Amino acid sequence: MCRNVAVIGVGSSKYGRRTDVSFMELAWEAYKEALDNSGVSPGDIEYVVYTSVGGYSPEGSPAGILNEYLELNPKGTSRIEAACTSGSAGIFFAYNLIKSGYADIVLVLGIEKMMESSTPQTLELLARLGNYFWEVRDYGITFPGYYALFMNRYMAVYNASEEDFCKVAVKNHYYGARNPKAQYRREISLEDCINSRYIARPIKLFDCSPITDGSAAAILVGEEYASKYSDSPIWIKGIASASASALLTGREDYLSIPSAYEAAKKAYKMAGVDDPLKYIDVAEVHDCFTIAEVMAYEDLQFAERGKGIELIREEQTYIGGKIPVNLSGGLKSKGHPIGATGVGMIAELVKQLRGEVERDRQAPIKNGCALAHNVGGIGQYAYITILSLK
Amino acid sequence: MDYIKVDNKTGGKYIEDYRKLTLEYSISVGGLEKYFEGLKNGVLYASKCKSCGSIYYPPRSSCGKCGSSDIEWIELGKEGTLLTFTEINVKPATHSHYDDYIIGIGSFNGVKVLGLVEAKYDELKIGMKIRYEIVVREPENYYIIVFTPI
Repeated sequence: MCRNVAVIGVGSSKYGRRTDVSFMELAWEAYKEALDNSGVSPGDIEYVVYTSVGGYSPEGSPAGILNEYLELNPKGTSRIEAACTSGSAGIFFAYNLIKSGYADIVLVLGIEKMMESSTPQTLELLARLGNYFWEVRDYGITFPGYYALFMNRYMAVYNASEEDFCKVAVKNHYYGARNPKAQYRREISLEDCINSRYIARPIKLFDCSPITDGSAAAILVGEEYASKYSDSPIWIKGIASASASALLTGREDYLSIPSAYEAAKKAYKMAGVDDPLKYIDVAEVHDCFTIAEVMAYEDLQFAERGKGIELIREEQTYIGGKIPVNLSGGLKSKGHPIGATGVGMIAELVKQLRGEVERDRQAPIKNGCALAHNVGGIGQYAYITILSLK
Repeated sequence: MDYIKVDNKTGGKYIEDYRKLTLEYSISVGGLEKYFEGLKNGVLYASKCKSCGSIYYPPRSSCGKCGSSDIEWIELGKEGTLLTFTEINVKPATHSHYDDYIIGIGSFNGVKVLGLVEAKYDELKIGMKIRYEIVVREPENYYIIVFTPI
């Protein structure tokens, strides 16, 4: 079947240190909001995809217990895991369930409750999203460490400074301060970032996205159902996945995320986007670390190789610039509940395209087109999703 | 005993889990015994496919490119180039007993290798010449690749 697929409802919990709610209650927040703004009743949902990396909280198989709590039994369900792209992988899976004709209405719910682990335990679990046997066990690399290897090389090859990267953090906090659902609702100065302590030198605390509790939900439908439920369905015009070596030593270089570049090329082709700067009104990109946002500019062809750093130096990714990026605050300021992040990006962009976000962080919507860039691990997974009003 | 505790940052209430789980694994090395024997003898091996010539580091016992299982072991040259590095300041749980450590990626005749770097951070430069040796790391007594600037 060739029918199109639309997102008709989205929701998100407040991100942050959510010790005020249980695992189930956290999921409920996103689910309830998505259900309410989709117009779908629970009985209409035919399949439920949960996205969660797991381990940070103690439940071993979250899909079963969540489906029960959300009163969605006996609908079929599973949990999808692809590190920090789990959420996008869930959207991809739901999209294809509908495309195939198996289901007409699918719920995707992403959740991670990371604060139920201590910080050293969380760092250990995160690091193990790389290759444990060869790289984590013996060398004790961490997630900031993976990206620090890229940042050091990028600085040396393209003559960028630590201060340049801090400009990404400043921008994302500027917008996060305006997002009521963000974990860190405050602006930071360049000095705050430059003076923050090293986590994996040259990556500093303020180059890093935080550890986050959060959930996000999206309801996808086949086109026959889109207008039945929604006045403003948001269409999935392009969705693509690619992979790259999980082993650091398997990479050709440490200046880009090749899987993100590949996935973007495929998604652009699918959506008929020849020049992203011309078509895309707003993008959410995977800024787990500031270097990751700069590499995203280049992998998405917003800038040529080595020129991504100039986009942020020239403030071209603020509203009013060439292309506004991470108006939610990004992973950096909004937060990064890893299994929910990809779904949260879709929730944000649906609201951006509908003109429903807070006024001072609303992108001007000219072409009605938005892009989500989600990277898992150090790029062993990448998903790009292109959404459109038309 | 406080049964229900308060998170002072949020006022949220929680119960500390009274079940503790330690994960322990016995990890199979498969057909790579020769590699680990090499480490014991101070030799670093990559695997080379006799059929198509592909070189793998870390090594593997079959060739993913051509499918052959006809493998030979080649010793990597001791001198190479530092491609990039980082100092790990905030450590994961299983490495928290070490002082801050530097990790680097070196290229040895085009074969990329991850190792610890024995040097001061400020002395390191991308592109500098390095050599590797295999040393025993305390307190676990395991073999690890260590780079030093030449």
